[in-house]
Amino acid sequence: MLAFTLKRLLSAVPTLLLVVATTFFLIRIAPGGPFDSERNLPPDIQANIERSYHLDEPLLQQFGRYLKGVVRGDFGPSYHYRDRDVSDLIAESFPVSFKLGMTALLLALLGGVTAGVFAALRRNSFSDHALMSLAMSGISIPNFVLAPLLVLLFAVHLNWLPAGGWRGLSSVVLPAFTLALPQAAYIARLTRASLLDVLGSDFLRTARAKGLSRSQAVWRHAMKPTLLPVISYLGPATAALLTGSVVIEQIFQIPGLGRYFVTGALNRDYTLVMGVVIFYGALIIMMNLLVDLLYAWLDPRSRQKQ
Amino acid sequence: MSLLEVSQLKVSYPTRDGVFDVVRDLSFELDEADSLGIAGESGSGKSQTALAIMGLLPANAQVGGSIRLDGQELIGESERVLDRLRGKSLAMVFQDPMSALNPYMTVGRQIGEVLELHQGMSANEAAKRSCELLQMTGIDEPGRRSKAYPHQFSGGQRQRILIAMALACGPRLLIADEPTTALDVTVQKKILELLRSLCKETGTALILISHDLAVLSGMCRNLMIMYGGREMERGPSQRVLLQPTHPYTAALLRTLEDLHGGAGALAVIPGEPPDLRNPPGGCPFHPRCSEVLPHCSKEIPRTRPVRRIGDKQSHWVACHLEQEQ
Repeated sequence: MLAFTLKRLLSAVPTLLLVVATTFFLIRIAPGGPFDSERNLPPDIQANIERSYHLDEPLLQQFGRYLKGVVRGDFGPSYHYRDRDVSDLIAESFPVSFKLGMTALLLALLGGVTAGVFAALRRNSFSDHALMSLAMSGISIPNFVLAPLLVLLFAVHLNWLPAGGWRGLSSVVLPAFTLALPQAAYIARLTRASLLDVLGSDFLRTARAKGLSRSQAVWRHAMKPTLLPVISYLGPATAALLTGSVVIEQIFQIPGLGRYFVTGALNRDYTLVMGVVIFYGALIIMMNLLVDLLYAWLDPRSRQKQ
Repeated sequence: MSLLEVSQLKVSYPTRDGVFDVVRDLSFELDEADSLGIAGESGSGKSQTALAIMGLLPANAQVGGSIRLDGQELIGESERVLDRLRGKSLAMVFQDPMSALNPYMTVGRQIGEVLELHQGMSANEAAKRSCELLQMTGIDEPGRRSKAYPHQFSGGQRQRILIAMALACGPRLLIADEPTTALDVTVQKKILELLRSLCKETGTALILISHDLAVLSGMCRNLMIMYGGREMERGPSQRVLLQPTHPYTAALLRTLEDLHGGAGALAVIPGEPPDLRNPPGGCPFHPRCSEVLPHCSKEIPRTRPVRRIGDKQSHWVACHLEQEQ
């Protein structure tokens, strides 16, 4: 297990390096630069600024300088938010995104698994069909459509919840729900298919033949194999939540990392964009590793192999 | 009173193309500690009969007739009552030991679960008893092996574990549905021997399902031949094998002799097993029968005793030929 973990961590290094290199050069290909503005700066001031941020050096040299910083954990200063380091910005805004993302993930898991199990146990009933249609819409409706609709209903008409901002628990509800819905829908479909598969398995029939009632057999024998595919989906789900949060935080005006990513990209704030991308990349890699470890630990067949 | 009394059992499935019957008019009895072998081709209704007795047919199955265990009617009984019987009075060993065990649970836990459920044992007592049961079915080092998962056992060992699980609560009746079909030939014999000796030791009645007449006659005192969901012939194993009365039994035996004789072309029963959605009228075997009579296609033959001179054995057959004699 330890060797497996180390191997996976080592293999993450080239992945991250690739991510860093791709973003570094891609964002510099994008037209415009961090210090372009409508006001024309005198050329010597422009040159001064560029020199102080080492933007006048050859691209490869800049890349080398940046890499050196990253290895030391220094993402450099933000070009747009003067006097702020990218690391500070991340440290300040990530807890907000984390709270939102975690709430959404928990909602998605709880709602998705419950709905999936319920639908599978009542296969082909009205509630099964209703839940699965709902899940299909949940997957199909983009979050930038759902979010304004929810705001219109719950904030504008009913006035139950705030339309945006980040003050107190009530402001988490709408963004977390919007973020969670497509994931919950996907997990529900995954759980349903998985449980149906297990319900038809021989070992569940053995469990019934032992005298376990249907619900006992389902709880004791079907849950673990049903949830394994859901657990391995947690990696991709995290990635989907992160990308979703970029849009959601913008719509709901939440001061999270996703919003910095958007404004950073618009302002050509090279270091900020790079910092966020590397941070998210590392997070997704870590999450996938965790999921794999959890899966290996839960499945006795893969546990023994390591 | 017999331990198990099945009468007029009927199992059918409604489909878009109409209802089709997989078991029809099946009646038989089984005494305490007795053994019955059920033989027949695929689709003859053997497994459906077994699942009907266990009450484990799929939800869309329609069951009619009567199944009594110790006088207690099982058909139409509530799931709660059946749950208390399954695993305790009634047990079953399934065909494929590779998939019949839960891959995510240690085998000790899987055996212990039955004991906790029906005998109210604590987890510790159940674990201890599981080891004894594993030992009894011939698993070495049961203490260590009971903590292992199914994938760490061979097919034969897994079937031993399933037998241990089935016999854990000392059931009155054990149903084994082709318990060795999925196993290596070399292992088959050992598993069957184990089944027979354990049932004998514990006084458990056995219903063994197989398509192998040779195996059945060696294992069971009585034999029932099924075809197209119906009983064709039933009687003491030796009688049925030595004096087959039904043309289908005789045909089955010829294929068997050929397998063991080995010379020349293999004897086969011409034709195909009946299509259950559109069963032939009259006796289901008549389209393939070599001794078919004119009214075989019109009238379903009643099951009646075979009478020979000076004979008191209960040998039954469902064939118009027998009536003629």
